[in-house]
Amino acid sequence: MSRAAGLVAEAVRMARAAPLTTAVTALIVAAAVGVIVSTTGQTVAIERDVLGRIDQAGTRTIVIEDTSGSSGIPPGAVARISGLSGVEWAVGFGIASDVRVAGLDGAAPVPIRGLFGAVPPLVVTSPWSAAPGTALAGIEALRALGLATAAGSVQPVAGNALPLGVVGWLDAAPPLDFLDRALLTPADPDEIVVRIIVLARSADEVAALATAVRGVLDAADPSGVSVQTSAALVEVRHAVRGELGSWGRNLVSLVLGAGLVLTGLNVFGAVTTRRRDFGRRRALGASRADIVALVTVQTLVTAVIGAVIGAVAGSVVVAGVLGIAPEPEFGVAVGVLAILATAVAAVPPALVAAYRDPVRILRVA
Amino acid sequence: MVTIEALSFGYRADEPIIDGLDAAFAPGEVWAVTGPSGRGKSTLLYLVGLLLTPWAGRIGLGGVGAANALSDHERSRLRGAHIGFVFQDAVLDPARSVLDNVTEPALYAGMARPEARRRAGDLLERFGVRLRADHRPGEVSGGQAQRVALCRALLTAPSLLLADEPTGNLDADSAGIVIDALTAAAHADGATVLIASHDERIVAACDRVLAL
Ligand SMILES: Nc1ncnc2c1ncn2[C@@H]1O[C@H](COP(=O)(O)OP(=O)(O)OP(=O)(O)O)[C@@H](O)[C@H]1O
Ligand SMILES: [Mg+2]
Repeated sequence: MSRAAGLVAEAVRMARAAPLTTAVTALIVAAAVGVIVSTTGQTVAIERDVLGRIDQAGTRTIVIEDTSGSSGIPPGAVARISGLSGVEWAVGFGIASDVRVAGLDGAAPVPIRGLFGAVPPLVVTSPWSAAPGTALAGIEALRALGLATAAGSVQPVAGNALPLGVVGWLDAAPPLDFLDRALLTPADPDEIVVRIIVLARSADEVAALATAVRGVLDAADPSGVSVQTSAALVEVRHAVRGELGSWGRNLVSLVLGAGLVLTGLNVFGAVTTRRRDFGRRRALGASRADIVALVTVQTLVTAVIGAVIGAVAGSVVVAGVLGIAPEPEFGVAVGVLAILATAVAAVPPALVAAYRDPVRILRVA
Repeated sequence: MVTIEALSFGYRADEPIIDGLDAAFAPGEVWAVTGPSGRGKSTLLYLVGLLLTPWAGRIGLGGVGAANALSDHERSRLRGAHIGFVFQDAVLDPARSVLDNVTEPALYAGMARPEARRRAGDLLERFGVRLRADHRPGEVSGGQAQRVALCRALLTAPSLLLADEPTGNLDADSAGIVIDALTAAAHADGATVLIASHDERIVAACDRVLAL
């Protein structure tokens, strides 16, 4: 066993041999961590919950719509928007037209849309090569068509275009869920884009991205093209973040500061009453550095126990009060901070113990 | 070999306690350090044990010419590995078992724990306190506690044993055990032993006398 490992083991034995000091230190750390996790932890849990909901509601989505239907969106816009920085993906759709199952004139018509670009990640599909003349049917559209399986043939209602083969199904999540009620087929080369949906990498980038998107569209005729973002939601998101964040930080530093002072006093009291202990250790061969290490590690080990107790208790309180699970990372972060603060608090008393004259101590022993 | 050259020391600048002392203590020798109360017997032991730093002069320990000039880290290493202390009262850790008290120097001397426990068991056996190994120091008699302290001092088989009034609190029988153990460490194992004492019986049992 190395000397360092030996010192750590000895520090643990010292902690066990001084149950009162150990209990008080552990209690201080547990209280500090518990208070932070159960108060600020609630804020963090609420914040995460609110932000999660805002993000779900589509803060990151930009919808570009050709409201006039007069080809205001230039060809190649989807590809160019996909290439903008901050874009997770962009997908375009053509004008919807109606189809019904081939050979069944009385069957209900279902809209079909041309797809520009790749199928985005929010859409789950059966395997599809996007070959011309093939289509995927949304899960609701399948029912509307009266197809039992995702296989068959559909015929455009207007004109005398060729029938299309339904070769699979798709299931889309918001904001693409309108596809569930439609069929999707690769866009024709001469088809125009009437709707582009863009997902930004983060909500913070939406405003800048909307400007960039307008830049791309400006190349053609911008009249009759609308670019919509959830600007209001982005604002709310910022507000939620800032408000809750600064309040929590203040409380954390206050509680940790108080815990640091209390732990320092407790350890100082302990090394003062255990003066003899350090005099004896010095006579037996402990260096000053050994004494500092023993006192600091003893406090550290105790702090770990306290931090675990505090984090678990605080999380239980948050779960009980809010009914939402607290963020585990937050508890761990507060625990680690508290352990570090406690170790810092132990150093001054450890130095006092190490630099006491061992001969004076041994004389009164 | 322990050598002292022109050693001077005092606790206060205007009050030298030891003034230009020269001495040499050979391995296998038991020395009595005598003198009236307050003359500096304990002080000399603490100086030789590297717990005090002299004003001037040199303390040579084994192969180290001026051990007193080393860093705290190196002096502590020397103390842990080569020096054993026995005090007037046992100075045990009351919160730990007798066995743990005896093995305590192992950590600072770099001795493996299993070996330390084995040696401690042997020493406790030799001094008749093996049955008390799991007891706390508060549960043994004064004479037994001093024998435990002796076991602790002998654990690392130090080449220098420093005993300050080791029998001051003991009856004649217990004192005899302590004296026999210290002289055996010198005569059988070749350690240098310094005993500060007023006790005539101790002085009589030593090989040589340094009168301060
Ligand atoms: N920290 C200190 N500051 C000032 N003087 C001190 C200090 N410690 C000890 N002394 C003085 O140093 C002198 C020597 O003390 P020391 O303990 O070495 O004597 P001693 O020979 O061991 O005495 P005794 O036989 O009573 O044990 C004494 O006069 C004592 O009062
Ligand atoms: Mg004395």
